[in-house]
Amino acid sequence: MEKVIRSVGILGVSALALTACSNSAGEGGEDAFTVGVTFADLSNPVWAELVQEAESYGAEQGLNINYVDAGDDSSQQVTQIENFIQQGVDAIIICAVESNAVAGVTQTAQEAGIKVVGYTQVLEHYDAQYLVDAYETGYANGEAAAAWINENYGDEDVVEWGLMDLPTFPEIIERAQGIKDAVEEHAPHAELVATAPALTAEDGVANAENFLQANPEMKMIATIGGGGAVGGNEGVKSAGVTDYDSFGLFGIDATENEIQNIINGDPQKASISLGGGRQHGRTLVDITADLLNGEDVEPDQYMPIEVIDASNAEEYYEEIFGD
Amino acid sequence: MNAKFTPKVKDIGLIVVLAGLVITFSVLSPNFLDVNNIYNITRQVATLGICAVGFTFILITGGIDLSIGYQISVNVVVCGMLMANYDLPWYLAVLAVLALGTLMGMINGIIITVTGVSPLIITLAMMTVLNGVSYLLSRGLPIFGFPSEFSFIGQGTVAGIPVALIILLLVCAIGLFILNKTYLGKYFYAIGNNREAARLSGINTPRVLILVYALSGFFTAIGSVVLLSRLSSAQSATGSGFEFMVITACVLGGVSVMGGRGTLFGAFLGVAIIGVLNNGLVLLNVNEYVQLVITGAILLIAVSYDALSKSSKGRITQISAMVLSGSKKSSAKAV
Repeated sequence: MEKVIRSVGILGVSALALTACSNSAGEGGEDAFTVGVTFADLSNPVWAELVQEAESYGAEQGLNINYVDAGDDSSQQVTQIENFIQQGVDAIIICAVESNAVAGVTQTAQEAGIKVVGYTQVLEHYDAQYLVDAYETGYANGEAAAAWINENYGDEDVVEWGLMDLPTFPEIIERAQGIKDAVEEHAPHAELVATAPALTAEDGVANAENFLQANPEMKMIATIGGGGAVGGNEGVKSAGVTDYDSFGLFGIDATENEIQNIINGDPQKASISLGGGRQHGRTLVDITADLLNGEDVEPDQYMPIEVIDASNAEEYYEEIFGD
Repeated sequence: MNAKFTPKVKDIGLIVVLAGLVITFSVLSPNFLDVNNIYNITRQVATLGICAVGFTFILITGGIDLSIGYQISVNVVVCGMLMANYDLPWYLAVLAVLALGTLMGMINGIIITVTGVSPLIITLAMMTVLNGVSYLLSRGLPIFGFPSEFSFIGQGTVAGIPVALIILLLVCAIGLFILNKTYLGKYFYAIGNNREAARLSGINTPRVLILVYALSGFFTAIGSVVLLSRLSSAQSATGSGFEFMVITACVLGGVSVMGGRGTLFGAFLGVAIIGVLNNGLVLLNVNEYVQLVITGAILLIAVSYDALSKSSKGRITQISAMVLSGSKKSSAKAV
């Protein structure tokens, strides 16, 4: 029994320590609005960057930002939102793990007079949302890949390509479909010969090696996210491709690592930017501040979709990641 | 060859499953049984194999370390920061991480032996702590821009053989030596079979347990360095869920979670089955959902076959007894 009590104590202390780490005291002053932010998974670097920018930019705009990580667990996210309501925050920004799971609690929040702002996932009850058009994002990636195929292998009868998708994530399936449709439409001689899921860089490395092992003639790989692209870039190299101009890797997210790879002339040729974590953080803060100040806000706003390749990578890097 | 490395009857089931997978993938994909692909698989399972050595030690002593995934996370983040943010030469960063990994394992061992609390609980708590530490250090952002020489560990070759494979083989050799050629290995089994009996027979069980967790931390740090070098990018999410992969590989290889039973050879078979499955299914371009079903089914078959073959002798005795008693009853009825 004593051991059980001690064990629970240790777990409790750990949980408290982490709660303290995940929370951040606002700096916006006593009269500032308080905003709770819950994100599906802060291991995503874009989202991690977003919340940090939201915290610092929010303080400048008079918002005390208090963010938590739902750890990809919708029940935990519901609890977090309930706690925000109980805490009496003025607004809640939600990047939902699963939008249906938070329908009830967001309605409760609105009934309590709390502004609800959605991010990436469409919510049932909201005051404003900042959304990504998944299909169009994928389509832009596929379009860039198809253009590269036509420019480098336009004369060949068949050009083999591979896709790193994520079919267990409903919101990502549309991205993959957009990529496939665009390549099929703009480079009809391209043939999809390999598909495998990639969430992390570890997945990306192994997939690229396996793709090229099974299909030595493969010329292009497209990925649905930055993790797969960063790993894929290393995987293409370790698979023995030495002429990086002969191979094209196309990603989405335009993370700092991806952009560096494009600038360095690596296998990665382009990535789709949705504005970047910092810009998203600022936009979410602006939307929330406008709502709280009683200004008119467009309920559904969409992230910009921009292709970043060798022609604009350095400029983009300076703008987004330069200090 | 030492008895603990020699394939035993109980490993035959796993060898059959592995051979079956290799034959099937070779027939279905002409690129599978190719030297390059064998190297691919070994590179892909290098970290898993290296970590499995220390993890097998822990399981044999009757312990477990759920924090191994986030030990990797902390290791890669610290190593990445030392190289990218503090411009430390890569070999010093590697040495620092080896020391850090050993320290993390040692802390686990000390807490477990001092408190007497179940390793499951302690390492679960440590997993949460390390998760937080990793994110505090990296702030969730990727760290990259390492010296080009560093990529040699995970991506380079020596005489055409991947460096990662060479490291894996070295670690395996060290692991086999410790387990089979030293008293320490015998202590691991003794503690796993009966900790109290081991203590009464003169083994300093707290010291051995601290050492086993420290060793596991050291091997995990080596695996982390190989992984980081392969990825050229450090993220806190790296290593997340890795503990389940290692447990799966070890248990699949017949290492008992109750302690006292298991071999490194079995654990390597488990690692190999996982590596071959992951590689072969992608080579065949099998649908992701189907991959999940096939992977799960083959793991189930492997574990079931192995478990049944281990208890087959007893089961045959049972069945014989039932048949004999059945035939006696039949004879009695006939009379």
